[in-house]
Amino acid sequence: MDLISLLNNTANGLSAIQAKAATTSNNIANANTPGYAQQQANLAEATSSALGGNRGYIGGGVFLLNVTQTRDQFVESQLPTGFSHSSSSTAESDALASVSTFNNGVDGNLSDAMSAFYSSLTALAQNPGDTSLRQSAVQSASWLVSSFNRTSVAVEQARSGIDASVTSTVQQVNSTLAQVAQLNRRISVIEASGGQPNDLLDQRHNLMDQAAQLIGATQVPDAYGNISLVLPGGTTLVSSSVAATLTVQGNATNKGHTDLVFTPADGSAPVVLKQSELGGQIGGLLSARDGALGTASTDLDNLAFSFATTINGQNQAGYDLNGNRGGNVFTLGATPANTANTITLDSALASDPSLLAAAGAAISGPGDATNLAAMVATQSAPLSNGLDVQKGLAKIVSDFGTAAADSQNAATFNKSMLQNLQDTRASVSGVSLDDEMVGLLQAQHAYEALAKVITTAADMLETLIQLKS
Amino acid sequence: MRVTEAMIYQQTIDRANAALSRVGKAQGEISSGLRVQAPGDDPQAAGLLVRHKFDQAQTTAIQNGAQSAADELNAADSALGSVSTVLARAQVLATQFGNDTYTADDRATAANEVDGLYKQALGSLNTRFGDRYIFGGYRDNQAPFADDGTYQGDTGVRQVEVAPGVYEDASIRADVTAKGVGGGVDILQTLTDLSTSLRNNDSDAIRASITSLQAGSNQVSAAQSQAGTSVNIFTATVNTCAAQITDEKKVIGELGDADVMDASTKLSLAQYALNATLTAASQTLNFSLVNLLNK
Repeated sequence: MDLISLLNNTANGLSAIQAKAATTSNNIANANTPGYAQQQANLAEATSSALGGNRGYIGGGVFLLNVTQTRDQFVESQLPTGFSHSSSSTAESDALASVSTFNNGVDGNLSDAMSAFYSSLTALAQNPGDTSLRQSAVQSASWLVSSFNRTSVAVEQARSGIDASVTSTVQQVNSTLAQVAQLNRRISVIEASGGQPNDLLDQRHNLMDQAAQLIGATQVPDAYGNISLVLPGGTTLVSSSVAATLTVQGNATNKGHTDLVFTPADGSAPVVLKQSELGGQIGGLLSARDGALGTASTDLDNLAFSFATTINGQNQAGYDLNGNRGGNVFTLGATPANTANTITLDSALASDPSLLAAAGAAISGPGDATNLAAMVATQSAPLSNGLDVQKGLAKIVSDFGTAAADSQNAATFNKSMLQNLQDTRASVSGVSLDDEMVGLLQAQHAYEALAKVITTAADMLETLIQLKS
Repeated sequence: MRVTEAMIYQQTIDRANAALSRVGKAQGEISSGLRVQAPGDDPQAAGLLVRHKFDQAQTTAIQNGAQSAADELNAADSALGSVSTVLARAQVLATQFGNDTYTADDRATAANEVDGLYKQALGSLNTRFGDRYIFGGYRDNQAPFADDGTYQGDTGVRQVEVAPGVYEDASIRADVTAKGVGGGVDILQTLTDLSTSLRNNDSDAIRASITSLQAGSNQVSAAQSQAGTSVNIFTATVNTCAAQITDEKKVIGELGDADVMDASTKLSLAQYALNATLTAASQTLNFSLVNLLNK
């Protein structure tokens, strides 16, 4: 080996060390960049030169082989599910926690209104001819009606709020899917030419995390460097460089609440996605809307319908203060649908409390409370669901509470699981400033040593030049 | 495990958020005084709270009804007591003026007193409690007895709930007690007859009325006894309901109210955890090669 080769090898080494320092610099600069994975400048020993005559080889120095990301695929493969489950249960838990209409201690809630209604009937049974007691009973019936309305509206408003949230989240999902598809195309082109697009890979990882959080999409890699995104139900959202789109549309059979519609990129017919096929934030929101809140809404409607039908039937069995057959106490539709929201107090009764049919016979005097006693007794009689009024109400509150507690427990558990995965990812792929500082010192010393080699080689060369002169 | 700065930051945020969440929950319990605020805090207790509050309201309604019935029956008992006094006085007059030593004028004067007693009895039997006549059965909006003693009420007996679905009579049938329906004596007619006998100076008829007056007194006593029994039942109901309401309140408190000591302890622990998390994070982040190289 001549001195010029020595200088060349050293220069190559300086270049490799500079690349290592630059990578360290990049790591430090991106230490807090979301989604950034620590990069490593991989150095390799250059090919040795044969000395000839079986005298062996002289090393060719060092060169920069490549710059790679530090990612543990075992951890990365678990993260989408972790993101999906955590986002789903947190979204569901938060949505249910925001509904306060069933809270204990809320004055004037449905339970209080129902108790007050029956208490007013019991009081009226003492003196059914008393005008003020009749007025009080009608007022408590009016309060009960408005309480049914308010509770139903509160539940339906929460469900409508979820619709709005899903609608805005769907826009984010579509944007994310389109970006993943675009990055798939760019990454596959670069990788096909032997490149290592670390920054694009980081961006795609970030977007895939987002897709998992938003809708529970998991990733399926192919042999060409593309990542497909697939919903828990098996629907493919992104394939290679093509992304499907999601839209929302109202569903008349679900009180007008929105359905999620999947439109494939190949132009085939749109498909309505079921909640069970979804994950992430949207899956959790829809689970809250059509799960606990949907059940509460339906149960409220059924309770209101069954209760009002029973009271109406009992009032029709009796006679009012004028000796006429009783009419309706409540006005409601023919089926339970939307009853809690639309039930009203009978307008004739509202303006004339004497129409409350307390008496059991037409010829009785105003003191006859026989039918009123039967009406009071309906509070202990089973309604259409086999439960009496108070048990039916308690079940609605308890069922809602169980769903809220379950989702809260799931959110805590899933969050903890995700935190562990994220800690592991940060441990593997995160930037340690200590590591980088050590690497920087190492590069600095190597650079100084190589510079010394150059100085020495230059001195040697100078010595030779002086010998010739 | 390799530890990175991002990991420490993330763990600090997670732990601090968890501790803050516990601080918020403990503060909520202390400030509201409620352990079960949302149904999700304790679903089973939330359901039971609904049922116990409903039971409490129902028991309170029954208690109020029983108290009102007891008050009304006491008024009925008092009215019947007045009728009984009237009948006792009439018996005295019948016994006294049935004696042949009295003149027609003496008996006419006694007849005037009997007429007064009749009006007194009529007034007692037309007693009102609040805005209604208590001896009229279901027809409680008009005087049950006309001036001539005709009964204008009906045979209805009001019933009041003493336990869910269990009823007790809360009124006296005046047609039986005063008019003798079912084989008894018509008290008002007996008084009218006595007055007539005194005016007619008919000593035999005067003496004959004593038996009827005694039978009338017995009828009234029987009704008073019935009213007393019902009053006892309603009073017992009021007391039982009071005890039940106390029990319900206790159960509701145990189910839903916060244990302030427990909540305060939780708050202190959560605050301590939050403080420890932040202190540990700040100290850990100080141990950095960057800091040492800068010195």
